[in-house]
Amino acid sequence: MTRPPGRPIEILLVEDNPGDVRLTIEGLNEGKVRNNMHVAKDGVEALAFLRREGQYADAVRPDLILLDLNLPRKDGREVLADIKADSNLKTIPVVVLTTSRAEQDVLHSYELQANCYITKPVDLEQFIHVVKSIEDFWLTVVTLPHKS
Amino acid sequence: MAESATAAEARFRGLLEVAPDPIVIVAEHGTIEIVNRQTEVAVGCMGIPLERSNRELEQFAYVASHDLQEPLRMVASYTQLLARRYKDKLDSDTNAAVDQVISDLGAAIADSAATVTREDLPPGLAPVVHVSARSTDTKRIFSVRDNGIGIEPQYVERIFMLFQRLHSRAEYPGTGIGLAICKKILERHGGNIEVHSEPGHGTTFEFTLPVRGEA
Repeated sequence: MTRPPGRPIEILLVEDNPGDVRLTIEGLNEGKVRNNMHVAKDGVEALAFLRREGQYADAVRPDLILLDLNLPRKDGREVLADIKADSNLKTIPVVVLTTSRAEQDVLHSYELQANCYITKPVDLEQFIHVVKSIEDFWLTVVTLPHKS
Repeated sequence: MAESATAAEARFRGLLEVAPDPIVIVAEHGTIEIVNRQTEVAVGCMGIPLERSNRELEQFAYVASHDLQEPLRMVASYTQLLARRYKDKLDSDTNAAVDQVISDLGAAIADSAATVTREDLPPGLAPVVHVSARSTDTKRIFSVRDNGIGIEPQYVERIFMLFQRLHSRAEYPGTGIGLAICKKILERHGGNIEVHSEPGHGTTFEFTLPVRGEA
């Protein structure tokens, strides 16, 4: 892992449902990795955060993006397409985390180069297990590029 | 005993005969399937644009399944979260605990309602809706103007799309259905709807209906 030891992981969660934000925090807090979670509640906010625009001028570059698909203003598919078309952002892994299990969403997300696609489990234990697995895999198992 | 495929289909056709259109079927695993009987009828006689009708139904099924699951998932997850965290800490006098919760919630509800009212309706800025109409030889034009939050120009197309919303439900409640239905009703009657708005300065919806020929 290229991350300097001790630095907390920065995660951007793009999610409009405060209930899911809370559950995701629960999951991450049960994991082993120290993290700072940032929340954008729609696609426009997410891109402003990533591009450090307006109130996000001092935003950190996230190590990982958790992206819901169905969002107000600009939906997750558009956000994903924008991230992967942006040479500064496209190396940040994007985990699509959504209620949808529709084949069209799965396929379209991978076509847009999502790094993985996960359907949110209905059961809490499974949801927390999924969030911990995301954290474990993306933040401790894989090697990510150095930050630019 | 397993039903034969033909028997099952016959039973299904029977359902089609009596059920209103379209039929929504909640299938296993919480997915939703829709059978568009109108489509079948249309094939037989009128040749209504099937593709459009089917596309709209698919979209409806998709969002209905998503939006029905979301609240269920929340209720289930948070019930489990409460149990997980507090099951060892609940004392035997659950009535007292429940009463306490109700009284806590009561205060919160009263507080938030009061706050919402005051924040949304500052003095002199109560909602004003103005409706007017004018006519030409061929159509009637209705105009509905409000002094609400307005809509940014880049979103004026999106607001008429089914289930598209510009705010999270925490900010402004809604389903994303209303304007999509308005648009469909007007289009089916040969009219249309458009919007003029400036963020912070209200919105005017203008819809047009054709004047029916006297002949």
